[in-house]
Amino acid sequence: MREAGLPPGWSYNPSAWKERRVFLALAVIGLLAAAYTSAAQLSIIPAMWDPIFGSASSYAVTHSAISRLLPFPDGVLGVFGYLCDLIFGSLGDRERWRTAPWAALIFALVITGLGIVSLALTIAQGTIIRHWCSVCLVSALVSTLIFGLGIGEALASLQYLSRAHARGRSLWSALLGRSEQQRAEDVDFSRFTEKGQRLPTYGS
Amino acid sequence: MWFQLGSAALGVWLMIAPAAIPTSPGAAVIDRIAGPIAIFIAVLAQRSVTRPARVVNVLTGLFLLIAIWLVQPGSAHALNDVLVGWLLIILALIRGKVRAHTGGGWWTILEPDLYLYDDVDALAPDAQPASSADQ
Repeated sequence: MREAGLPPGWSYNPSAWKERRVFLALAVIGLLAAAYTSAAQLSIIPAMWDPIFGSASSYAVTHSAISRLLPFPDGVLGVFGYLCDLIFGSLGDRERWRTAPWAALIFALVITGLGIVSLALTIAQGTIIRHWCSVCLVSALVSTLIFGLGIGEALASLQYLSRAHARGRSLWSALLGRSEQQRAEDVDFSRFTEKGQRLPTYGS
Repeated sequence: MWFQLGSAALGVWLMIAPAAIPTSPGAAVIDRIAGPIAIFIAVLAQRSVTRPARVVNVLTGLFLLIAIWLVQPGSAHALNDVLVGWLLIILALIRGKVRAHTGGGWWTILEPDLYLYDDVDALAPDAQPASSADQ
């Protein structure tokens, strides 16, 4: 018996809670790190804890020109990013790759953005600022892990949308998960008859 | 999997190396650009579904091999970067064990294999009819 909710041709379900709770837990760690960084940048706390490089090094990073490129400190952007991460990581059921592809794809965009910004900031620490910040590196690692290990779910949703499009369904309603209502009828009319197979009979 | 972990470890080493071996400011910059990228790509290529991303680390390795000669590295640093560069390229070229099946991978977004998956889709245990008009 196949595990319920597998995308066609997949050996695991990328939307399963077993997968997603890992990313949600990582996002909580990232949120704490970003909130702590923001507190230092907004002078709510005087100095950051940094067991490896020292508070002065962290200060140089969190008060660098790069951290002030936006109208607000970049730690605040991190807080916003991880909050989006938590929201869009939680939305939808365990088969959301097809019941709510929009949620899976927005989550994919959020984690891609966080991952790329984190990579850029890590490179900036070593090359432009030339100081390091432990908490910032923890946040960057968390973003990298969520992106690298979580982006696969987008493939299941994109494959689903691609199949829906090829079968002449509305991409928009597939994206919103509405076409699930017509799922059984789609099976009857478009899939089985053209291959000359008998229609499956459910529940009778 | 182990090969990508190796690439990630090389990336971490690249971030540490400028502080650990005799170096020049220019050479340190090369390592501190390549290191985070190597880690980023290695983590991405860790799972079967995104394993193809490993090829990007071929470029990271080539970048190390080429860029290190554009700055004035110490001989120890030059040796380090050439070694790490080649190792990154070799590790990126090894696919390793791909355990999970992922519906044909990323190219199927452009060309969905309907024939292959029609039955799987329809016979999924969750494919209960929404209406029972024909009963």
